[in-house]
This record gives sequence, structure tokens and C-alpha cells, in this order.
Amino acid sequence: MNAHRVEHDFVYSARLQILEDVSPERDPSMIVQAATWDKGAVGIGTVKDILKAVHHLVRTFIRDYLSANPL
Amino acid sequence: MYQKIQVSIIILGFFILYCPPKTQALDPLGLFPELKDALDQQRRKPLRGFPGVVATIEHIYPDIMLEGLSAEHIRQMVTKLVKEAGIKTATVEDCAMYVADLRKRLGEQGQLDRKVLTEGPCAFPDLYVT
Repeated sequence: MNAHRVEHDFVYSARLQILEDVSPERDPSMIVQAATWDKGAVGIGTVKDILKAVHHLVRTFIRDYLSANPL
Repeated sequence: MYQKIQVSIIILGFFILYCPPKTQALDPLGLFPELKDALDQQRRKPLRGFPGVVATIEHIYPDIMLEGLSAEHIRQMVTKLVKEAGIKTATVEDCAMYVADLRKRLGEQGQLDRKVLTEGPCAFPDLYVT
């Protein structure tokens, strides 16, 4: 989560990723960590707005997860 | 002055051209809803069959912490939301306990490595806030 204070607000960027161990096709014996799902947000606002942005990213992840894995 | 405006317009143009969501770039008028569905499906595919997640917070800008927001606070919020949605969550401590338990039961290092990779909370991928 990056941010830069501008007077009373922050210019921020937040990113939510799923990082997992994967093997590249060129060498399946190799295990590397890679993002298999990724979503980001940028904005200007207060700490409350940053939390809202993270909240929204998590909701997007949940929606995608539940769509891929119906309960 | 004019140069500054020109540079701003070029940057804005670049942003508009390259930053819209994928579907908007491919189908700006939204004429093909099935294209959006296909891209959504593609994005969700890697999430299929996930055992659970470990919420990890990478970096908090120091000024934000001065406003009372901590990495632990965000981690707890993310974990709570994910848990409430019925997705399994684990912590680094859960993984450590799992490893300690396995060590006790298996002993042998080679077997432990394989087990840790394929089972239990250590096999949960990171839900990474960065």
C-alpha cells in the first residue's frame, strides 16, 4: 500500500494479490511465487477512504472466489 | 505554461488509452456482454479449488500509521471479511503450529517438506495487500 500525503489527504494506491507457488512451463521442476489473481485501486482521500478501497478489493476477491467455488 | 498543459494532456491521454479495464479496451461500447463474461471467467479460473488463504500485509506508509491505521488492523479486517464469506483462513502461527506438529509426528525432513507443500495451512496461498 503506497501513499503520499497531500495536505490533509493521501494520494494512495492499494493492491490485493493472490500469491502462490507455481511452476513455469519451461521448467516444471522450478517453483516460483507468482500472482495468480490481482486487483488494484488508486485514489485520493483520507485513511477512511483507503480502508474503503481495501474493503472493496477484498469484496471483489470474495465475489470472484465464490463464483469460481460455489458453496 | 502551454508546454505544461500539453504534457498534462499527453499524460491524461496515455492514462485513458492504457488504463481502462480490459473489456472496455476491447469493447468500448459494451456491445458484446459475452466478452466481459469470458474475461471474468478467465480472471476467476485460477481461484478454483483453493484450500484457503493467509492474509499478509506488505507495507504501510508511515504517515498512515500516524493516523492510527496499522498493518495488523488491516490484516484483521481482511481476515474477518474473508472468513465471513466462508473462505478458510490461516495465520503464519497456524502454519508454524502445523509444521511443529508434523515434525513431532514425522521427524524426517524430506517427508516434512513434501507434506508442508501439499497439505494444511502452509499450503494456503497468500492474500497479499501491497
